[in-house]
Order: sequence, then structure tokens, then C-alpha cells
Amino acid sequence: MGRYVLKRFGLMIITVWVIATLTFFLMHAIPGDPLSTDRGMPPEVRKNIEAKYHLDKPLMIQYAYYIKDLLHGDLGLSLKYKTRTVNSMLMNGLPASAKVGLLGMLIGVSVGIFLGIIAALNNKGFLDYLVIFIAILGMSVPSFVFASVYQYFIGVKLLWLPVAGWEGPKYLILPVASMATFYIASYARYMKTSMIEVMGSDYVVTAKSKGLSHTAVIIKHVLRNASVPIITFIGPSLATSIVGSFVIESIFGVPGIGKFFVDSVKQYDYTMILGTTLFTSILVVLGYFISDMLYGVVDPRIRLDK
Amino acid sequence: MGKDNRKILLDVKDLSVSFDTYAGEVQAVRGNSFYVRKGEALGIVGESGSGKSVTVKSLIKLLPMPPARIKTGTAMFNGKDLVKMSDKQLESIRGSEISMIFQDPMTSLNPTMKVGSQIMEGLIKHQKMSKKEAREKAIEMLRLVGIPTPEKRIDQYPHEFSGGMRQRGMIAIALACNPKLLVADEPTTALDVTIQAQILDLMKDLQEKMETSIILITHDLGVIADVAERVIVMYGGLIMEEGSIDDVFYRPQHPYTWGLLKSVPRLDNKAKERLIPIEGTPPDLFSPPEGCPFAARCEYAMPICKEQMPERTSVSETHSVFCWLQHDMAPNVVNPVIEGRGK
Repeated sequence: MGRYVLKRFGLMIITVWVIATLTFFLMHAIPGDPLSTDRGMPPEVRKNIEAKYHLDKPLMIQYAYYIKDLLHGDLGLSLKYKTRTVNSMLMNGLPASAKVGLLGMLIGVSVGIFLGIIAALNNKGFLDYLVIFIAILGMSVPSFVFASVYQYFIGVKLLWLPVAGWEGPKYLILPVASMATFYIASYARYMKTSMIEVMGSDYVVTAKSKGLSHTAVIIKHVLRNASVPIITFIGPSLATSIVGSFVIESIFGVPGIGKFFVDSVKQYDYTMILGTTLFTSILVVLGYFISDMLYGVVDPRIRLDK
Repeated sequence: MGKDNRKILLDVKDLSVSFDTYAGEVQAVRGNSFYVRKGEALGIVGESGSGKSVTVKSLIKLLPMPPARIKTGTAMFNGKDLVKMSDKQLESIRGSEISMIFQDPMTSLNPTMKVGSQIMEGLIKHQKMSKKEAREKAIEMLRLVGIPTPEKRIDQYPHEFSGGMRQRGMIAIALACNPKLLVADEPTTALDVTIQAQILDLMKDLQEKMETSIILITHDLGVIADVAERVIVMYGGLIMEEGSIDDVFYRPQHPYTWGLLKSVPRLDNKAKERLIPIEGTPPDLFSPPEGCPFAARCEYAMPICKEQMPERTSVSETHSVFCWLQHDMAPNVVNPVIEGRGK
């Protein structure tokens, strides 16, 4: 087990390095540079700034500087907000993003799995169709529509909750609900499909042939096996939920990191693009790692300690 | 074969099972009657789709219902009608009085549960054993079915067992509560030949020890000959012929049985003889033929065969057949199986 974890860690570092390198070179392959949007900048000033960020040096040297800083855990200075480091900006925005994202995901996944089980147990019944209707709605309607609908009815019409802002727990509810909607929809579908598949498997017939009651068959034989495929999705969901959602954050005015993802690309903010990409990829790689570890807990065939 | 005085354990009368599908009603089993005596091994043989599995699975409602539905019939088991039983009553019968072994041991055990726990489940439910007692019994069962070092094996998962061992595990599960009837649905089809023989020997051995009745379903005539005392030949959801092993193998009366026997290679035949397949395809069970389902493929078919299903004709006390060739007015057909056997 220990050896496996070590090996996985090594591979994870290599993966992150490959992503960092690819992003670095791809970014520099795009026409334009961070300073090209500032028209009328005196050439001397431009030169100074380029020198400060090593932009005047050959690409390979820039890459070497970048990797050196990266090894120190330093993502560099933002090119747009010239006095702030990428690290501090990410760290400042992360708590808000993670709060909304993780809460939304955890609630969404739990409710989704629960609905999926209900749907599977009522296969082709009214509740099943209701759940599948919700799921299709939740997956096909974009999150900003739900966000606006919640905002309008709960915030503006009913005045139950604040429309937007970030001043206390009350302000969390609507963004979390919008975030959860998507997870509810997708996990309800995953879980239903998985349950139906397991319920039709031979070992469930075996369990029934032993004289176990329907409830016992579901609890002891179906649920555990049906959750195996779900775990595949949990890790990556966990990762992407932490970095939050640009759309939901901007609709509800959540001071998260979502906006950096979009702004940095628009503004050629090299260090910020690299920072956000790297941060996300580390989370995703970790997410898959968590999924793989969880597999072992649920499914003995994938247990790794042998 | 003398008169069999053993008590009848399961008596099925006029059983029909249908599946309601979008395309219409599939009449998988169409009014079959048969019985199993106490301690007897009954074989049901027939090709895929002949209704043999459905027949037995419907008895303890192991089919998904709907779409499956028992249309008519009774199944008296120990004086009670299985067809009329509630789900709760059936639960107490399943696994304790009637157990099943399935075709594919690779998929019929729960992959995320220890083999031991899978044996213990039934014991805890039916015999109200404590966990500790059930565990001891499970070890004993594993030993009984010939699994070495059962104390260790009991805590392993199915994927740590080979195919043959898994089937032994299934047999241990099925026999744990000492059932009166064991239904084995193609128990050796998915196993290779040497393991097949071991599993069959084990089943015969345990049947003698535990005095369990067996219904053995297979399409393999060799397996039937090895284990069963009596055989039912099924085709198109109907019973074609029924008799003792000797009746069906040495004095077969139905052209379908002849076809089956001719399509099996024989060791005692020295002449280079071709195996003769049965030409044609099985009947469409959406709209089964009015008459004998085999008529379309039968080389002896007469006009009446396509119009009306023949009645049961008794050939001897143990042997009966559903075929118009038995009728007084039918032409005399020489049994090609007996004829073909080198004297």
C-alpha cells in the first residue's frame, strides 16, 4: 500500500509538471503579450517591465525561471495587479470559492444519490419519472439560469434571502443551492443507472434465492456495488468544486477565484493563467487519487495491498 | 424400473408463464405438469429458450415480476401451493427449503462480500443462528463441498476463488440450510470439463448424504445421464417427453428427443459417423404454433401436428410422450436412434 501511494505521488508530480510545461509553452505561442493591451506605453517603461518579469529573455530561460519559482511554491507576481502575487490572490479567493463549491457539491451529491436510489427502487414508476425529469432539467439548463431563477423568486419576490453579496451564512444559501442543482441532477442519474444495473445482476438473484427480504437485498448487496462507479466521479467533482464556478460567483458576488480564470486569459496575465491552471490540475490529480483510494475501500477486487 | 414409492415433494400442474413485453406477450412456458419425488434427481433438458429455466425460476418467483407472470397452474410443495404464496411466505421457503445454483459462478457471487458472509446470510435468516454459530456452520459447509483450508477461505472474496471453487461456494450457500429441493440451473455449463465432472460428483454425493431432491436443468445430455434418475425433455415451452433415464436414452419416442440424441457424439461408435444437427429454428414464442411446436422442424410431421397439440401418451408406467406418432392411425416410424446404434 505504502509503495503504491509513493508511486502514485511520483506520477502525480510528473503529471503536474507536464501540465505546467504545456500550459507555459502554449501560452507563449498565443499571439500578443501582457503588455500589448496597454497602448501608448513609453518604450523605456515597457523595457523596464519586461526586464522585471524576464519577458526580454529567450523562452527557455523564462521557462527555467518559471520552474525555479515553481519549485519554491512561488507562482510569481500577477502581471495585471502588479503589486500582488498570484499565490496571495488565489489564497484570498479560495476560502469563499471552496465554501460555496464544496458545500454545493456535498449537498448535491448526497441528495443526488438519494434521489437516484429512490428512482431505481421505483423503476418506471411515478417517482422515477419525477426524478429523471428533475435530472434532465438540472443537467440541460445552465447553472446561471437556475441562479437567476433562485435570485428572482427567493431573493426578489419572497425576500427570504439576500440576492447577492458576501456578509454571512445567509449569503451562502443561494449560491450553494445553484451549485448543488447540477450535482443533484448528474448524481441522481449516475446512481439510478448504476443501481438498475446491479439490481439486474446474477448475484442479486442469488441473494434473493437465499430468502433475503427485498430491503436486505438492497442494503446488503445492491448499494455497495452500485456505489463503485459513483466513486469514479466523486474525486474529480471534489476537485473542480473547490475552485468554484465563475458563473455562480459572479452572479451572487462571491469573492472567489472563479473570476481569475476568465480575467487572466482575457488580459494575457501569464502568471495568473499558469497559477490557476496548475492549481486546478493539482486538485484534479488529487481528486483522482482520492477516488482510487476509495475504490479500495468499497471494492475488494481493487484493494491494492497485495 | 420398479414402482417408485417415494413421496412426491413438488407437484406442478398446468404451469404457464408469460412475459409481458412491449412487443407483446412471450409465452415462455405453456401449461406444463411434472413432479419431483423426495430424494429424486430430475433432469430437465432442452435447447436455449425452451422454457426450462423459466419453469423452475417462476416457482419461487426469482423472475422479475413484471414482466414475468404466472398465468395458470399450481405447484404443490409439501402440501402448500407455491404459486399462491405471499412474498413473505416465499422468502421463508427460498434458501431454506428450495435453493438454487446458477449457471455462471463468476457472476453469481457478490464481488464485494466475503464468501463466508454470503454463506452465513441464509443461516442467520432461516435458522436464527448467531454470527458465531453461522460462521462455524459456514466453515463446515465449505469443507463439505471440498474447499481446502476453509478456515482461511471463509474470509476471502469471490475473486480469490477459481471458477470451480466459486461453484462449490455456491453449492455451499445453496445447501447450508439443508433444503428439501435443490434447483441447479445449468450448474456446469460455464465450467471446463474436468471441473464439470467434479462438481457433478459433488452434487451427487451431497444429494445422497443430505437426501435432497434435485432439479437439474441443462442442455447437456451427458450431464443429465450422469446425475438424473428421471428426465423431462422440453421444447418451445412444452414438455415433449418424460421418462426415466433408461426410457429416454434407450427407448426415446419423440422425434425431438431422437434429434437431440443424434446430435451428441458417442464414444462407443467406432464408425466415422456425422453428427446430425436438428435443422431449422425454435418456434416464435410471441405467437406459438397451434399444434406441436416441433412440427416445423420434424421430419415425420403430419398435417395434424401443425393443427393440434397431441395429448400425453403413456408408453410405460414411467415413460410418457406428447407426439401424434403414438396415435393408432399414425404411420409406423422406426426409431432412428435405436436403429443407428451399432449392434
